[in-house]
Amino acid sequence: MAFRNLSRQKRRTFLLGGAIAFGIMVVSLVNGLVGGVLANTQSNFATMYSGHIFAINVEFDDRKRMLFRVDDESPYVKAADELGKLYPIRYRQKRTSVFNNATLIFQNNSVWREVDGVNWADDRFLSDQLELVAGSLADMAGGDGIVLGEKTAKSLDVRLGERVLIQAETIYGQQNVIEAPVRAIFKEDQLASGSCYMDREAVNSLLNMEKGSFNWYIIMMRNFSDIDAASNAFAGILQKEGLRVVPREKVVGKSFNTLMGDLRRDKDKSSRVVVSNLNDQMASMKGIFDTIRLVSLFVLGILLLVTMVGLNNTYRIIVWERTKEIGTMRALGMQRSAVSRIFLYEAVFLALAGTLAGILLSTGILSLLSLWTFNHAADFAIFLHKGRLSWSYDMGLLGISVGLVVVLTLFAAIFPASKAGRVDPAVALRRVA
Amino acid sequence: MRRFPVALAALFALSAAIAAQDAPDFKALLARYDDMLNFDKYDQSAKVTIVQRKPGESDNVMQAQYFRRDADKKTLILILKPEANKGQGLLMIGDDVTIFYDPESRKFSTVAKSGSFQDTNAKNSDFEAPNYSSKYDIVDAVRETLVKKDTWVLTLKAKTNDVTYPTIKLWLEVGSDLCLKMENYSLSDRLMSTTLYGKYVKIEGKFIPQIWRFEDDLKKGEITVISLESPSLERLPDNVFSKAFLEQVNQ
Repeated sequence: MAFRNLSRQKRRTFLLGGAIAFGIMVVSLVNGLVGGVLANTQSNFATMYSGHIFAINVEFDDRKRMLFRVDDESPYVKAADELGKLYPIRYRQKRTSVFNNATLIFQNNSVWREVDGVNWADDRFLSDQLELVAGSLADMAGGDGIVLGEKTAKSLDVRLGERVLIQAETIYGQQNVIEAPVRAIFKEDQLASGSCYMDREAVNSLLNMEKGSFNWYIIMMRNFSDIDAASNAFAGILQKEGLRVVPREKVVGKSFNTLMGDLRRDKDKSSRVVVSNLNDQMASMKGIFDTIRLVSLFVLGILLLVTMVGLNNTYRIIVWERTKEIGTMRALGMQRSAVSRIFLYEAVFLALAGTLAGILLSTGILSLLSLWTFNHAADFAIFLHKGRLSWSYDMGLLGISVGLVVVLTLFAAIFPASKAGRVDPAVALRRVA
Repeated sequence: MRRFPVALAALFALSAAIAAQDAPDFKALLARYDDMLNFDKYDQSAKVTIVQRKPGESDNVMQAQYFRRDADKKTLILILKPEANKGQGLLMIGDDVTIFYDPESRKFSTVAKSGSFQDTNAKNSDFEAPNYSSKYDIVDAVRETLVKKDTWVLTLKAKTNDVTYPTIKLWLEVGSDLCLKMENYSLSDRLMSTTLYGKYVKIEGKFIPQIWRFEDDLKKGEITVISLESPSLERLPDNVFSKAFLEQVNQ
């Protein structure tokens, strides 16, 4: 009966439901976009860093200069083996990176880029991820070549086989320059632009590090959800292997720059290992996204409150308009509570229909948006998946939105519904007559 | 006839002996050069004009005021021009501390001493007293003529890892001991930059380079020309070498 009553006044029902649908659509759009952007960012960061968990050894020299290097891999290998028994690991690897970035020079062109030294024989993940547009990685292992992104190659105006100069500071602060032929060029959109890759020993030589050394140990987990627990476990195992590890609680939620700043300010200048993960690096970004979601929920609340005022007034009018009907139903023996329930069911159906419409609309819009390729948005590549937006709903937040709509709609309708239940049949029928 | 080879050998030996007498004590020569650039008993200040030339681009001109107190290993550089960078400052204290001040954000940040000065070919460390004799060993010394001037070319190798350029070559003029040319090499022995000293000014018996030119040997055609105006060795107030001074001049 409640459903039939809704369909009697189609225009009014459509307008009321439309207002609810609009509010839910806005919140769902934000929910879905934020979820997609977050998932893409996690995935792209994992691709960019080639891992989820990172261990960096920090030392201080006599002049209190911070050095990043590991000469003995055995504690890390043992710890990773132990970790693998607790949480499934996809792979692990050692890298040497030029943390202060390097200057790549070709003739009169130069660009500033991060250079990562990779063990090409072991690093299948990177080899699989790089979508090459020219050249091959066949000669990279043990060689002096460099792999550049398309944008970087274009900025330098360099072609395959030509030799670029790579200028960087060693770990001790000395100026150093090496030369490398361009062996391959990869499509840069899929990763955040700015990384180039060389053989790890070539980068060790650039940074004046010993052969076989590296400056960070990276682990890629099979399940992203394991990374926080696995990071804590890894830190504990490294500690048991005899390394001095910065307590995880001092690392959680902090970016690398913040962590290094903390270590610089610390009076203790002994060598220590920092175990961090993607969630720590993305903490501030995640915080922004969570805030956006909460704000959207708040905006929904405001929208709904405004809608509910209108809904409340509308139901008052509905009750007045249907006085005869109510009087008839009461005269036929319908209880007061049953009359009230009819109006409440109408309100719930309206809320659910509006919510469903809103979610369907936002799903449609998000699906359409995800078909669009953002060709000129290289700066936002980190938020996209192969140049496109993704979306995914946070079901918890969606549930809260739906619940909020239903509760507020019920609240708006409860007083008019209660009033409808209290209508005296004799008075109602006499009024109409 | 048998006397000819003997005479020739004697002549060579004599020439070597004479040449050996001409060759100076290179360590002492380097120490003298360091001393010329070291103003332990004085403060140094001057207005510096830096002209950066890059191929295909118009000249980038910058002016700065620099202050130096070698006794305390302190240097402060305050940017005067262009307007966009006016008020920015670099404060170097000792061997480790290099602080950059941005008047727009009113924030201080730590930068690398080996880093570039204001995106030019000059390094921050180039504005300090070099102290070559304590940081480098002389591995080679030859005599050479440079622009019609007689010079000793000293090849220096760093004693430790904590220098910007592991190898340096200096062309020191015979007689005056002034440096006319310097080449900086990377750890891999690649020539990175060449500095030519065009003019020196003498104050209180000390020589200060007044015009010099950096050439980037990695990026051909990039040149930075630095000239000093109104160099002075007068005592500076102590508060000049402080963060507070940088904030104060920007108020």
